[in-house]
Amino acid sequence: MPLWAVIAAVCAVVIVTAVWLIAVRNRLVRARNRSHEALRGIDVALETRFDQVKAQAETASGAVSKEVEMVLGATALRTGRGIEQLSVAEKAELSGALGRAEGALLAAVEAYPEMRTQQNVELLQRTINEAEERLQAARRVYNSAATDYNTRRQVFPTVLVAGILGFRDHELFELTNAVKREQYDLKGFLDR
Amino acid sequence: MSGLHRVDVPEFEQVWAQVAAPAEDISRQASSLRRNSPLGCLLTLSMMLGLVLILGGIFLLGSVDGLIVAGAIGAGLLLLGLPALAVWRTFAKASARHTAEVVTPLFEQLTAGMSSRDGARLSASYAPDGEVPQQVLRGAGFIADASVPQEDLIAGRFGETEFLLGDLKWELSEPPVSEESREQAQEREARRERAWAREERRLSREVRRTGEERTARELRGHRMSRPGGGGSSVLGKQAAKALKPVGEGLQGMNASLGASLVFFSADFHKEFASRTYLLPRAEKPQALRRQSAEGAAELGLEPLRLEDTRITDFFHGWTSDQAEARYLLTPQLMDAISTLVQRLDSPHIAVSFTGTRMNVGVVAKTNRFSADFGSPDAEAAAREIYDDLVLFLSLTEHFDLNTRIWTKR
Repeated sequence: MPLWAVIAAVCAVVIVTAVWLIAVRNRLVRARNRSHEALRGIDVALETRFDQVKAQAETASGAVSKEVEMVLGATALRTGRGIEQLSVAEKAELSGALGRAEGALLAAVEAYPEMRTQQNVELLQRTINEAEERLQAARRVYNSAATDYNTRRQVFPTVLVAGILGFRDHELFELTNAVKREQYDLKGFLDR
Repeated sequence: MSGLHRVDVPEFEQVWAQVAAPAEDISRQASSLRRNSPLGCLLTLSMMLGLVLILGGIFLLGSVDGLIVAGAIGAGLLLLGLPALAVWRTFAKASARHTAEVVTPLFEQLTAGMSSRDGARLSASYAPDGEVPQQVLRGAGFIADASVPQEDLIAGRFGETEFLLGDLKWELSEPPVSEESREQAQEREARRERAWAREERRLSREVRRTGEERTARELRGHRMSRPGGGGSSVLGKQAAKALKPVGEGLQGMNASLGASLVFFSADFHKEFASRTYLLPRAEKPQALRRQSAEGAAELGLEPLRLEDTRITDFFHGWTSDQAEARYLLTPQLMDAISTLVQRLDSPHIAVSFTGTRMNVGVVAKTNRFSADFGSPDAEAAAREIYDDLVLFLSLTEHFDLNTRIWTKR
């Protein structure tokens, strides 16, 4: 085989490989960005929920406020990082802690007769439900985008180069076991 | 207790006892015109003879005297037209009587006895000639032609939730643009979509501003009152009916006996600002809008891929906000939609969340909520109407729209 043919073949292989790598990288970048953007949605929902819980805790009595502070203090936020800097698992853990804090607030409103007006309970419950639903929606958007990205990353032959190009699997946002156990059945709650 | 929903309704047998006499009488009246009755045979024979005379006249055109041809065609038209008009008038009368003496009492007894397990009660009115306001139809975003003839409007509240239920005669809607060139059709579609987008934005603003007040006001009139809205007064409609020629009369018969698009629209229990559409994957009849990827992008929509494969297998999803679409379409609501799809057994079902409302459109091959004069069994026909009423009126409960535990009250 003449030398020029060998050089041409090598060049063709290099060009095709380069084009393929660029295409793969662009596809993965797009999918990763969608996943990151969806994760920002979770951050926003978590922050809103966190602010609500803090505000509600401030209006509650000292003991309740302390309990909420203790629950939230046991999360990764104690390290001084912001919500957006937490890992997905830490965010899931924070979400569970916020659920427990909300539970404590509700229990307090029910336990203290001076706080237990129908309006208070209803308002608190509605706010909690809204925040919870918004968070579950953001969680589903993120999980869908992360699954899409992971699938793109794991299919052959992309999987051969994804790691080399710096694309790592995205962790899914899953409910912690404690949260799964604590799913409330709120039906009829407001009728009481 | 209804099988699909958590509602209590009166037993059909109990309701039937009240309407059995008029229903059977109307069925007897209509049966005199069926093809297997003596009068029906005579009319069919007359119409066939008329058809033969018309075709014969056309065939002999030019070969015999023009006067003979004209006479044959004229006689043929009379033999064909007069029985058709007689049949239409009889059916129209029977249909009106059936509505007044069967459907209305069925509806009234259902309204009086229908309630949910949670104690929510149905409070609604039935207007046989009522129409869902075109603004609401356009706002739903999936109705191809909001000006189609309508009948059987049910409007009211189930518990906390205000709702509307109507029957659209989609076969009489504007025909598809298949005769036009592809480019012209696409251009027209794009223009229409832009206009829809403007209308939807305007509607969303208006609904947010005026809330339910305006809808309620329009429902009292049962039709649009703004100029060019396509509505007309009852008097005008009746006058127009009286002047209808035979051809239009037959079209009217088709409207009252033909296929339906059952449209359900209710106030949604959560606050939202986005637009989300679930359009059927099956080839659409002219009743429902088509949505291309380009058209969707122009409307600011993107594909929506939900986790429930029963939903994604049946519907193409489009939304202007992925997170809010999932906020609306919870796993429970997706499950309820899937159950409804299975129960309705129609490949053409569309769901949308626009303005502040949830809208559902179901294309049915047969007429709903009206008399079936083809069936000799009056009780079976009435039971079908009753079951349809129960099914559609309990959608509010089926979709859990009375569970108002979010910030929207």
